[in-house]
Amino acid sequence: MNIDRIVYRRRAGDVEAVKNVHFTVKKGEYVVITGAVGSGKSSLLYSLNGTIPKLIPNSVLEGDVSVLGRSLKDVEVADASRSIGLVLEDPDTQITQMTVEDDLAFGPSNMGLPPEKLRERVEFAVKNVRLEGLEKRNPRSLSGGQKQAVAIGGVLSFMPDIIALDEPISMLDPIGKTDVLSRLRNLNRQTGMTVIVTDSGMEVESFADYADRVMVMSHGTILKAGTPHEILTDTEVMKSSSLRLPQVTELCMKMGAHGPTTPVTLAEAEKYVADRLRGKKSTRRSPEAGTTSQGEPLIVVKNLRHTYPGLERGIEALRGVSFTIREGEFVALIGQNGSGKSTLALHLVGVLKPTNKDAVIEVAGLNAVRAKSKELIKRINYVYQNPDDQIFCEKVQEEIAFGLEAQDLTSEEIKKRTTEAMNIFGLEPLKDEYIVHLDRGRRTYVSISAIMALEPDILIIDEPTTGLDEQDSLAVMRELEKLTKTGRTVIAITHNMNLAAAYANHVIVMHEGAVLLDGTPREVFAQSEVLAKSYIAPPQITQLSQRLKQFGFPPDVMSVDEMVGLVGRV
Amino acid sequence: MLEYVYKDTLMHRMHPIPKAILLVVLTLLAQFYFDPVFILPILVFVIILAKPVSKIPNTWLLPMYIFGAMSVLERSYNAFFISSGGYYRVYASEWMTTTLLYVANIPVLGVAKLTWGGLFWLISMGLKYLVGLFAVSIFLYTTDPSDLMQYLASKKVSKNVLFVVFAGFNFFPILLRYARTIMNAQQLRGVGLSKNPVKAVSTLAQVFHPLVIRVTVLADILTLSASIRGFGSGQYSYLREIKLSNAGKLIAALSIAFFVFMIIGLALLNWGAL
Repeated sequence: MNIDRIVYRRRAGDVEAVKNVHFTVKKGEYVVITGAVGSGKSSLLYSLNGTIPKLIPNSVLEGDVSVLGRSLKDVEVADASRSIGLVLEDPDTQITQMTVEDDLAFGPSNMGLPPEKLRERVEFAVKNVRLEGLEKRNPRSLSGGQKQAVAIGGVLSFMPDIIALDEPISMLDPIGKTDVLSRLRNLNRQTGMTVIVTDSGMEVESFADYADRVMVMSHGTILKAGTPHEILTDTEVMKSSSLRLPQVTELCMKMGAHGPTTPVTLAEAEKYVADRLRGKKSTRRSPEAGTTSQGEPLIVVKNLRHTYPGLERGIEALRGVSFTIREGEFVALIGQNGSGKSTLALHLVGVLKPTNKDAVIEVAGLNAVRAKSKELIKRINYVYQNPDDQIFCEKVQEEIAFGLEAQDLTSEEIKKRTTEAMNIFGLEPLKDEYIVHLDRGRRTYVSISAIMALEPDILIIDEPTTGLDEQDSLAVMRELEKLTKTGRTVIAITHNMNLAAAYANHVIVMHEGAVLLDGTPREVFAQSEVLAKSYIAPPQITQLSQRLKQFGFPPDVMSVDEMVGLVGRV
Repeated sequence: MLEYVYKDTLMHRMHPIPKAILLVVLTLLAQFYFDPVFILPILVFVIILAKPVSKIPNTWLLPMYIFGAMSVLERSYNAFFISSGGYYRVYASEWMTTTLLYVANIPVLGVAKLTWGGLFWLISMGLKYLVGLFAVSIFLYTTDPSDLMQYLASKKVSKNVLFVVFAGFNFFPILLRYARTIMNAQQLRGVGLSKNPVKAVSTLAQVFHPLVIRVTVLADILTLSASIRGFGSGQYSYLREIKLSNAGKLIAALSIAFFVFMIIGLALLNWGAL
């Protein structure tokens, strides 16, 4: 594939979103394009199969993309998709059929393949994205991560020459992420399928093991391209592009490694550290696991069950869930895709009701099963995974004031709270901007600010960092942490184990509708074999400490600095 | 809601074309008839067809009851304020024009008079709606759109028509999902909960804003998602071979024959007329 001086503008006269990008991808390469949100990665990807400009109204694309010597200018997107499969960032926009297996078959069926071949392709896709048992389900009723798996499977079933994926693993559970990338790698090696993936820097540990080449984009241009080692160890390029280093790379650099030979994967780091510590042993243990907050119980859930209607017997999403959350805690609710995290969260805010009569859900002294919504939302509220699901107004300031106006507050109080909420993420300069024109990161800020303006005692936030880059993700997590310091309670549903380890003081792990583990981050992440049942892997640095247990490292190291301290004590 | 759900029932297994013919025949007959005595057996038959399908929870059938009730309310005006003795061809005119309820001098509306004929007519309107809604729901819940599209593609229907069918089957379920998500999200913002009715109405008006935005881009989204999966390239095949069986042909033929027979009965013998 040859990308020849691509220039893309969203509308004629607009600033260029992609500026004069020129590179070649060889057959069988595994390329990762990384960069902060707004750097032009997605626009570049969409131009590879003609989606831009043919399917995006008013867009302007100059330059040319050619595949195997054939320009895509004269090829319809539907025809180009046979050789270049595209997986969009938002899986909801890619689901077209009423069952998972029909959706996976949709692409190859448009190639005219016979039914037995279609069946083979569907089975291949189901296996590769772990959708076994879900074939007859309506894909729109699945969890966000499962939908993402369907979207990837739907293009894998094409067996295209080139597969281009836009942030394909952002909503997958941790083991699911490495699973998909590794299966893409296998396809890449076995069939010569060329793989092009974009990532906003949040999954840097995941793709370091697989990519042949990494390209860093910034402000519409390619800043640098090279091997994973060349890129992920170039701290200047990574920092200037708002990307972070893999945890193991950061550790090894602090241990003295430098240049492109610095380890970037877990296996390399294990060898590096082991070589340097040969024959030595740490005699110090990491700090005590600690306990979760000693505050008053704020949320008490006992024997919560929920069955969604559908199929023959219904889908049991929650199977007797019980836990307690205390005041001031920062809770990370983690678990595999479809384990019931969002369903549980919707019960806490009263949107869903249990399907068993003896369930207990007490939230800040209220019975959430019976309480009126008006009372409940003063105590607990919920930020949706997709910010567009809860944006109701045209402009930023209107949106943040929207919920306040429904509360019968005085206009002075509304103005005061709106201003305070806008200042949380620095949205004041954007107050009169149209929300549809903002990028995903800004829209996420708006949706969070709009709920924080209501000043609930408990805030549930579903996948707060999906679609965000490192900078935006840290901004969100810092603000959430500040909330807990003021006595409020935060429950973050997340697949980002690094952030969960860094910010949470209470972790609840869900598995197939039940609570698998419940404790401090150290207690939970130390149990990697149990976590693996729920397709959860601890943070990379924790995994490294577990692999190096022969040197006396404890199994619950939570941060690079902690590991550096332990290494120093060896 | 109003989208295909996989189950293993007779209606699910039936080929889309004889299924459509059967349900259209029942719906049309219900529309042509005005005597509840004739419409009721049709409704009972449709409910029997829906019974295995209705293992889907009752709440999903709720829209039907609401629409039926709305239909009765809408038609009540005709029943109360418009009644004509000469309309009745089967039942005795004296009986049909006997007044059941009389309210004189309603402001603006005038005299309201409900007769037996008006009552029969009103009941038939509600039953017609229920038959139609049940029939549509049965079809949507039990028909995999890809089966229907396969049949149409095998008849060389153009890709533009196929896309309309594809978009149609996707549009309303997606819209309903958006609406449910938006309503839940607004509940969490306290929308519509203000005691001040003016405020409640003005904030509720903003329910439509996000829905309108989603609807406006939905056509583009459906086009994009179909195109990048190769739809429109001109070749089609399907996971399951859907063949019209002899049983399916028999059902279609019997349905059409029954329809013709009943329409002749209506025309010549006033079957189903009041």
